[in-house]
Amino acid sequence: MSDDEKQTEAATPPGEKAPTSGIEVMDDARTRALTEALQSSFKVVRVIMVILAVAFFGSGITKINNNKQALHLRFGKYKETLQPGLVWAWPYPIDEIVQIPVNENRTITSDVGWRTEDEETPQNSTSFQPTYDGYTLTGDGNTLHVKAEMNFSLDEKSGAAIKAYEFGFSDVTGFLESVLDNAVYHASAGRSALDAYTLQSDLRNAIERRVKKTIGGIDSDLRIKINSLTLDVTVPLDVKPAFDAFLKVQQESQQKVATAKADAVSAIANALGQAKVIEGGGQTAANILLTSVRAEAKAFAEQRPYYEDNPGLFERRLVAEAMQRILTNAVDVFYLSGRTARIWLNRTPEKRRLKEGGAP
Amino acid sequence: MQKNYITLTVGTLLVIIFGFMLFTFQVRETEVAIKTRFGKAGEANLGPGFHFRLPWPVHDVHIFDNRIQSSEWTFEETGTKEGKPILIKVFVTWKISDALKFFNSFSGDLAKANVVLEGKVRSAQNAVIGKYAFNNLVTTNAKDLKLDAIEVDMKERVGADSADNGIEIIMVGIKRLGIPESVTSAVFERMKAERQARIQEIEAEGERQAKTIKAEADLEANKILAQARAQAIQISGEAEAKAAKYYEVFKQNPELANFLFNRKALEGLLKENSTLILDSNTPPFNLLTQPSTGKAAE
Repeated sequence: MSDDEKQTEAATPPGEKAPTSGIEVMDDARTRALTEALQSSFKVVRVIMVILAVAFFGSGITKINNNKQALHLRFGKYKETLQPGLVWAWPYPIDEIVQIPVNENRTITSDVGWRTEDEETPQNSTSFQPTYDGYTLTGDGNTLHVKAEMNFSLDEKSGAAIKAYEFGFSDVTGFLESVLDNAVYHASAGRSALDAYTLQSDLRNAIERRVKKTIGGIDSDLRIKINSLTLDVTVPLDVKPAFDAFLKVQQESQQKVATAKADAVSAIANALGQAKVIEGGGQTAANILLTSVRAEAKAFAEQRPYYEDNPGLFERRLVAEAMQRILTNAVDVFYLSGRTARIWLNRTPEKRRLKEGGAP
Repeated sequence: MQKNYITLTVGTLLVIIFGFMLFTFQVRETEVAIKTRFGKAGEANLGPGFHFRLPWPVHDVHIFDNRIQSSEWTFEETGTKEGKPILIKVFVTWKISDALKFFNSFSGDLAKANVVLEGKVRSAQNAVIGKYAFNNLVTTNAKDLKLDAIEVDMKERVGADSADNGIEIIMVGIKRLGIPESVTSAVFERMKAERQARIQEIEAEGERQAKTIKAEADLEANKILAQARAQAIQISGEAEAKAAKYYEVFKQNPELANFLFNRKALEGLLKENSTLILDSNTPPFNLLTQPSTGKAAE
């Protein structure tokens, strides 16, 4: 017997006579039908409740992807930072999981010093309308167009950076853009237009330093890693031809100086080379002199006894040896034999050269 | 009986949920709250987490955004110490430091706070910029540049004015600087004139530098060569000095020495490409005409 039947039976007082009329029978049937309907409804409600309970607890399962970390809040208060993986937390409103892309590269742009009110790029004009044209003031009181685009990611180590990034600011992107604008104006205000225009790496470094300093001064937990900072810098278009002409002349002048420096280096290198040769030559000559004198002294000492023994013979012998060597090397030797001049041909006969197209 | 349990459980759960809704509230990590009792200030600066309350009208809870806010306003003209006009736009980062004061000042409305803050910032901006000269705002001389000091000064003034409103000023930064339109055209002309003037300077400077470099290099090269020649002479002199001891030997027989030196000189002189015209009596040609001369010598 079901609960409903028991209830129906229990609802009839004992000893009371059971209804016998047709109306009573009909009422009884309706009651049973209603009871059965209610019974079915309870079953449906029960199933729905089970499904809802499963769905409620299941909704607490969250998958945190590899490039993300998550902040776990309990009753709205930060509890911990969760690493990538499958996590379970009590469903809202008890717990809340806020996922944040950690490795994502984010880009912000400062173009208040670049664009006009309705154009993306600076426009040519003979003056700047402050509320329309974007420009920066430089240290020499001139004007310049500067646009900075900063790509950054969170420098995450302990979860503090993503907490600061997500929960620290009502509009973190707007804040960072303001910081970048501030850095652009600071960097421009401290250098001449020409320096900012020509030494853009210095300008970029100054902007980057300023951004880091400002962010560090406001919230030490908001650590960002600047991946790149690119600049577009140009002078007002109206004065650009004058700047370009100047830069051309400057480049030529620098080229001239560079050439002079290269020539100077070359001249000094040549001089050093020549100096080595001169010094070497001196050393060689000295060595030859010493060797020669030493040899002559030795030869003198060896020959002296022979000379002293018979000076005439000694001299004639040496003269004859010398004549032999001289005459061997001489090209032409003429000697006079009585009145007839004779020639001693000692040279190697020249070979006849072949004339072009002719016979030898 | 089982049905009663289920009903009871569901009912209890509903009561608990309803009870939680009536008697508790949450403050998120980014928020701060105050709790009033019959409209009067109760607990203030309630931080993130779970808090109890009594249902309205006993307790009323006001929750505010506790994150750092950034506000900025229009690009406005002001004057420097020497009266030069300059346009400036600043941004202010701030947050609620005292939720109750903030609630009392602005009914917790951030937009109202922004409006009031704008007036305070404008006032500070005009006062501070008026204390500094134009070349404290833009200069190539790092010592004169006072942008940091200007920003700190503005922050302190706005901060002091806003403390009673429950606002903490975190930073005041310059977002834009400019000059009036009438001045920019003069700046353009000056920029052109400066470049033109510098062109001639640069040309002359380049020429001068190149000549100087060349002259210095020539000087250096000549110096190097002169030093080398001096060194060579010194080496030669030292060699001569060393050779002198060998010359002592020749004193033993000056005639022989003289003969040997002459013979050496003659050989050296007639070493190459010489044409000789000799008398037939000159040895050894005398052999051709007087074959017995050689014997006689012996």
